[in-house]
Parts: sequence; structure tokens; C-alpha cells
Amino acid sequence: MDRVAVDDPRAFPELVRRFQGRVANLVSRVLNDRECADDLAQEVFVRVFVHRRNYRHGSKFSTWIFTIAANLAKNEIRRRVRRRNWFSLDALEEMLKDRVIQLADSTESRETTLEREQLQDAVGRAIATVPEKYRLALVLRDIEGLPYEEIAEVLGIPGGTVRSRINRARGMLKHKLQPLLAKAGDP
Amino acid sequence: MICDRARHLFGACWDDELTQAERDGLEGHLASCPPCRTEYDEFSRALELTASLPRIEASADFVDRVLGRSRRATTAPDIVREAGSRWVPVAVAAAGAVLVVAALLVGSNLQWRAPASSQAPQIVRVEGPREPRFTPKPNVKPGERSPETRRGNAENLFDPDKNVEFVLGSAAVSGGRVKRDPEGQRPIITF
Repeated sequence: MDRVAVDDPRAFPELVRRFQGRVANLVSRVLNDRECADDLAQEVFVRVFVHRRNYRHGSKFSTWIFTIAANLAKNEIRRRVRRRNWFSLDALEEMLKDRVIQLADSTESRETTLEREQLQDAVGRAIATVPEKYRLALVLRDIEGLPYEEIAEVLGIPGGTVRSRINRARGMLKHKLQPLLAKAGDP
Repeated sequence: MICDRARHLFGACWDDELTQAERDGLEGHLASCPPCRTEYDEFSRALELTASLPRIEASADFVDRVLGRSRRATTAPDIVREAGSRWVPVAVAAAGAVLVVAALLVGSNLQWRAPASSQAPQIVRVEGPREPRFTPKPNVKPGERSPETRRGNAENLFDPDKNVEFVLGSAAVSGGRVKRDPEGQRPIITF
């Protein structure tokens, strides 16, 4: 990052290559929308480049870039919620897709319908339905594997709040995946 | 261990943050409580599924697109190096606020005229006061001010029948303070 700040021409592409996977995965899992997530992940790196001289060396670079990614993802979620409140066609389509998948999940056997990709898709959708503030903490912890302290720094909240949000998010996720889990447990 | 306590420990158990005593207690409970055992199995299965989701890779041309967008973006100012300049608008705003309060202070007794040019010298020119700023009443002890004196103090600064002109520059008023007389509710400006 120091080299990026002093405009070393090779440093920024290298930094993008190194962190693109983590940022793209984080944003994708939070939004559950690959195309939009790719665009948003690019925006994360553009923000890093624009503010490269304001990076504080006191914290890890990964914390800084995850903070930017989390904030952009939050903004996108809120924008979608506002749009959904206007009952746009996109939102309606998304809601209908949710219903179709829920019905399929609850009526058909795991062996015939929930192959690996479908199962992952269902889990991804379940995560996407967890409320934003819980979802971000959940993805940072259970998908990105960040320690609680770093999540607190990324989200700008106390460590105790992080723990309670993650506990709550895990409970919600388990509840949403209940039909799948029950089937998975059947002989 | 009761069921509520056991279920409260599921998250810490998953994160491997339990003490040995807590772990022993939880395992003992799960062995003897089928509903909690089922609950824990579902909890851990949900988190296994979450953790095992495939990594989503960025698009193939991701780096090129980022570099293209970055070239078009404008670099943000270096706020660390230019920290001093951030105080300039604050000082200007503070000076403006002082000017507004000064205008309110003199109210109907004072006609405010703006400086002739923006390059006006940083001076304060006041015509008057004709009378002393502070005239203690005979029945007031030294060092003590009567309510009448406090209320009239701002008016005593200037001759109310005569126009007073302030020519203020931002630097000249930067040390000024304004407060309100608690009884008279009149703003008092001091430099």
C-alpha cells in the first residue's frame, strides 16, 4: 500500500490482484448478486485508489478495504430496499424467485432436487434474506473468517455487539435453512 | 446444565471459545437431551454449509476494468499533509459569525457599513465612546457591578446618538468573544 500511495505504477495492479478474490467474494455473498457484486467490488478498489494517500498505517490494510467494501455493500442493500419499497418489477421478480425456490426446497427430496449447486444457491439466498446489519457480520465471520476484533473495526461497533449480531444472524440463518437441514437429517 | 444455557453456548462452541468446563458441561447435556442434540446438529450443519460455499471469483477482466476506472477517477486530496488548510474556512466562518453578532449587538443604535474593499486593513476603528465604558454607582462596592450597570454597559460603549463604524478584518476579530448579559439579554462583545 505504501508503494500505491507514492504512485508506483506496478503496485496498484498487484494490490488489486491480491485482494480481488476476497473483496469480490465478500460483496457477492452479502448481495447475492454476482453481476452487481463485480461492479461494486471494482468500485471498492477505485475508492482505495482515490483515497490511497489517506490510508492510516495503524490498522491492517485488509481491515481498511473490508470497511470500504462493507460500507458500499450496505449502501447498495439500502438502495435496493428503497427500490423494493416502490414495488419495482425487479423487486417483484426477485420476490417471486424466492417463493419458487422456497416451494421447491420444501416439497422435493434432497437427493433429486438439491444437488450441490442448488443447495449452495439456497444457502446464498438464505444469507441474503438475513437483515443487513446481521448479514454483514455473519459473512465477515463465517465466510471470510475474520476474527471478532477485526469485524468490530470494520463495522465500527463494539466487540460485544459483534458477538451478539453474529449469534443472532446464525440463529436466523439456521431458522431459514430449517427445511433443508431437516431433510438433510432424514435417513 | 439447562437447555437455555446449553443453546446459549452453541456459538462459542462453534468458534472453539469454550472453557474445558463449559465444553464438558455442554457435551454432557447434549448426550442426555435429544432436542438440544438435534438443535446443535442443525446449527452446526447450517454453519458448515455457509462456510463451505464456493469462493466467488472476480471477473476475468476485473483488474483491467479497475485500472481503467481508476485512471478516470480523481485522486482525493491528501488530508494528512494539508490538514492546516482545513482550518481556513473555519476561521472565515468564525469571523463571519462574529461580524453578524456585532451587527446584532449594536442593533438600532449602530449603522453597520461594510468595508470598502475586500483588501481592507485588519484594524478596528471605532468612533467614540464619549462616555467612560464603566461608571460605578456610588452605592456599589468596588469590583462589583450593579444590574443597571451591567445592562447598560453595552450601550455605554458608544454614543447612541452617533453612528459608529466598525471596520473589521477576519484577523482583527479572531480573538473576540461574545456573550450575553444574563439579565439584560444583550450581547456583549469583547476583544
